Amino acid sequence: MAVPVREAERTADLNVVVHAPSAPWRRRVIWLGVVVLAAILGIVLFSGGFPAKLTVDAAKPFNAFNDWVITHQRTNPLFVHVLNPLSDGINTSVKDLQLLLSRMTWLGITVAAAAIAGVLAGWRMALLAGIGFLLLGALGLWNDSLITLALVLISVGVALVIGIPLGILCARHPALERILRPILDAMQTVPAFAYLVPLVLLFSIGATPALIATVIFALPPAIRLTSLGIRSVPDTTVEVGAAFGSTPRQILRKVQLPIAKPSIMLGVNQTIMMALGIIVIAATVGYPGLGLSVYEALQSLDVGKALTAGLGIVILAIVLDRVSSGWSQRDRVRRGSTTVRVFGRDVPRWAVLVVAGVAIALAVVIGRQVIRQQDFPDAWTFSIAAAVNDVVSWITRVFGGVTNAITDIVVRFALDPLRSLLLGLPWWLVCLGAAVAAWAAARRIGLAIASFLLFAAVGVMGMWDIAMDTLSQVIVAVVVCVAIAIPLGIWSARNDRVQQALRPFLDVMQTLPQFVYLVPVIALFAVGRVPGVIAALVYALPPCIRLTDLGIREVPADRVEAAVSFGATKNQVLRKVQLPLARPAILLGVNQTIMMVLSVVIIAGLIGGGGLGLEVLRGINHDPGRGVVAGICILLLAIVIDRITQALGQPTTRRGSGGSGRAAGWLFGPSRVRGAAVQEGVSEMESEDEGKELG
Amino acid sequence: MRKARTTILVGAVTVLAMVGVACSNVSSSTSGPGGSGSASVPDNSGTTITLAISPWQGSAANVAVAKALLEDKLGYTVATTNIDEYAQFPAIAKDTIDATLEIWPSGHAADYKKYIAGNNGIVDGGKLGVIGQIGWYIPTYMLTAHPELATWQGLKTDAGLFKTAESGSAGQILDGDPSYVTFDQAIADNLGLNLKVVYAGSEAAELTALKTAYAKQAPILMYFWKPHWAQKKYDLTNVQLPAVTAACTSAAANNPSAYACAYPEDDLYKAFSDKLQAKAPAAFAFLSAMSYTNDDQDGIALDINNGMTPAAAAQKWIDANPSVWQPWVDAGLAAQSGSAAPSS
Repeated sequence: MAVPVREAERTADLNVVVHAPSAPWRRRVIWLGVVVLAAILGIVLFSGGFPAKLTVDAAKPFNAFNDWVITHQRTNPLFVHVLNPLSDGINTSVKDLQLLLSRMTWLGITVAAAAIAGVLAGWRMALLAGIGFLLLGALGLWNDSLITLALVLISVGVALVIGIPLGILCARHPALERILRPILDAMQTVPAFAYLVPLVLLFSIGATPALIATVIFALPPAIRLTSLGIRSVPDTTVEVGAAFGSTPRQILRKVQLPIAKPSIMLGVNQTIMMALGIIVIAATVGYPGLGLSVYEALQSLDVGKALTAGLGIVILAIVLDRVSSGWSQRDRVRRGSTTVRVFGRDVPRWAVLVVAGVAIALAVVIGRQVIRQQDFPDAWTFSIAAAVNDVVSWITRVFGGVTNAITDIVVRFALDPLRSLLLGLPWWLVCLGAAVAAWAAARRIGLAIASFLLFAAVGVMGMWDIAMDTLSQVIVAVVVCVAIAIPLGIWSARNDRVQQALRPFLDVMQTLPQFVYLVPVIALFAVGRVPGVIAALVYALPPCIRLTDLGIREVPADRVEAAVSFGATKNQVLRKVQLPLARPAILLGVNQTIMMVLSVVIIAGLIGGGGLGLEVLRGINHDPGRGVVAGICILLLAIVIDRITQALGQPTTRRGSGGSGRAAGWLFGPSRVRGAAVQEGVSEMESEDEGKELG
Repeated sequence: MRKARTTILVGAVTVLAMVGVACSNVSSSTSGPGGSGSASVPDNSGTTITLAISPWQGSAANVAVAKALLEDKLGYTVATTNIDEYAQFPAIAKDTIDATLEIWPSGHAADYKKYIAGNNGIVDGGKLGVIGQIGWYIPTYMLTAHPELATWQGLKTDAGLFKTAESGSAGQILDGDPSYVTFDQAIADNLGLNLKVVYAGSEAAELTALKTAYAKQAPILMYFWKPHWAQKKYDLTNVQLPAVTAACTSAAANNPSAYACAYPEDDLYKAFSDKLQAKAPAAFAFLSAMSYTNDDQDGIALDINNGMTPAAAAQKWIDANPSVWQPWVDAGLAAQSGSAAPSS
């Protein structure tokens, strides 16, 4: 696990927030009373929901656009001379890369992966990469993996070519950053299903729409982390450069970029993870590979096959994640050195490169001329599918009763009452609630007004009831998630073994496509909202656990020792010292949890959760405009909740530069997250330009 | 910036190595379909026909049969693309796909109007011959205790059997993919049945619910259809709804909430790119003539579901049913000789 960059600065930050003033309990009770009273009055005096006469048909322009495309695509020059050649070009390049990869033969690819990992990140990573690729072959996933890898490589390349320069521009022009911020939010929060139809209409099916969808999803971290990295270069350093007469260009190249490199590298890492996260979606627009295997296995309920392909994605993610984060870490340690340490000895860098190059070339030659086999040998493959299917049906049989009871309880005592409450309240009271929450959290009138308006906009677009259904599920999922994650995080912070044991599980939970566990979750919890909540839990637990763990571990040892020397018990240390100090990190974890739960609303739709996710899916076949609108509603909910919870994480008006959040970025495992680091970038923007508003 | 240079160097070395070797000719040539030796097979191998495979096994069966015959008897090269239904129309209109062999008219009325009737790049390819039947299905084991469930009247008394946490006090009728056109809530309401539609959200989710219920021999009522591989794996009964009337048909088009009868039969059809006929006249004629029965498709789909590859299952059917497919091939050959210059 990587080391946070600026130890000193971070520690200093944490000290600032030591004693966040907390409201006395009496005030809280009064507040609670006011809220309950308002809710009761609202339900009794007014009718719930959103009045139909205030709604507009927001889907209309999108559907009109779709129809225009259908009737004009064969004649309009935009299609004939721009879009069609563009898709042809992309299709050809992806296909060429696939061909190249497969012609290198399995031996060549494995050695190349190991050699590149070795050059970038050391021999351990070389070993990891080599074993990872052999495992892909052994699981019978060789061809699919290469097809997927080709798409990931090209889309990450495109995302970086766009993202890094944009990030630099953002760092220089805060205005641009402010304009881009809600757009980046949209790119990450609006489910890809919502814009697949327009993409297919514009670019047909195959590699092109898959690539564009992937780039849309994977681009934000590249922009955000580049910008963050450059802006966190100390002003004094830049000034020194300027004082020596450097041009802005020189300062950028010689000062800012090198110092920002760790952050940019983290952006690269996150971009790769996000690209892998959307690979199953790519299958639905006709791009084959591991994603298609998962998707197809799902159609015949073959959990074993789906899991095998899903594991392929996990393996690729872990290899790419560890190698790229190893690269940035190692680069930081040995910056400017011309030698590389190999087995404890300094070896010139060029020698390593030559060895790696020769090894790759040799492997490819042997693979093609001696072994003469492109694909991984069938004889060496094994299948885990049957065993997995047996285990799954055993689990369903044994636990089915218990889990069905859980479903009943959760629906009857949590989901139904909450949904009835939200639907029973008049719309303006719910919006007002959001505004008050925003005010209480941030003390910024602009945020409060924006929260009110954005919630109201959901109603205006005709999605009020559906959005409240989704909101009730999100709230339940978040509460359960936090209740599980914080104790686990504390345990993990206190016990290294627990942390070690948890790590692989957390990695898999974040990178295994949710489609894989859709079938067993339904088998256990019956179709409905509960499986959606469970799927959200699986996905959202890891960041919350990791951030709690991190926050507590980052509490300076001297403080804990001081408390202990005053005779505090272990529990007192936890309650009075560690938890208060870890508060910003834990709240960031809660923020992440909410965002991730919202990001899997679509998955909830796929397994009976209804709500906005179902609307997006419903749109796909006969009302694409409505799908887009539902996607926008998810975005609006996400923006409001995100800004409010982020403000909560900053108990003082200026929290300094969010050190613990930054550290969190490095702590994150392979995460196709809108990672802690990404959010951290956001929260830092927040604290830096004061008084700024949404968008 | 030394690091950047080394990175570029690594890249360059690697690429050189790869390109160097990739250029050398190798043992990757797979055995083509050629050599089947029949003298009458025309050489159309320069023309690639791309067929869409929808995500269900019946579609895989159609495509496997068409692919085998187009390659072996008419000499074409055939590529396939696995792709969702919704994306097929735009893809055919853009010629990314040449043909799709199984469209359910009930789900694609709007697409038919826009793309086929509106002359926007797609032509109607004629009937596939397979008849789809959407309906309300229950597992047959339920009939032993509740024989009245054979028709919808039984649901008046038995709706409570299907209660779930999601449906509350009403019985649950489980729908699958939300993008399919259904009238289920209207049917239930208009027939006075205390049933509530719950969307499983996807076909996979609906099937999982069926599988789970079946294992426990528990009650389940669902929107489902034939042909489907699950109809072979599970013994399901179509709960008889009131027969389709003219009033229903007009309600479907004008006022869906008034719909109150069974679903009409779906006469599945094919659709081609409007450029296919010029590009590959023989393939166009062959695919237009292609038509077989539910039994034919079911047999192949079942073999696929039992683990046979689609190609093998299709070949088994081809070997056993020459009288069914020979007319399709003859139509193709006639078109081939009809067009003066074979396409190249």
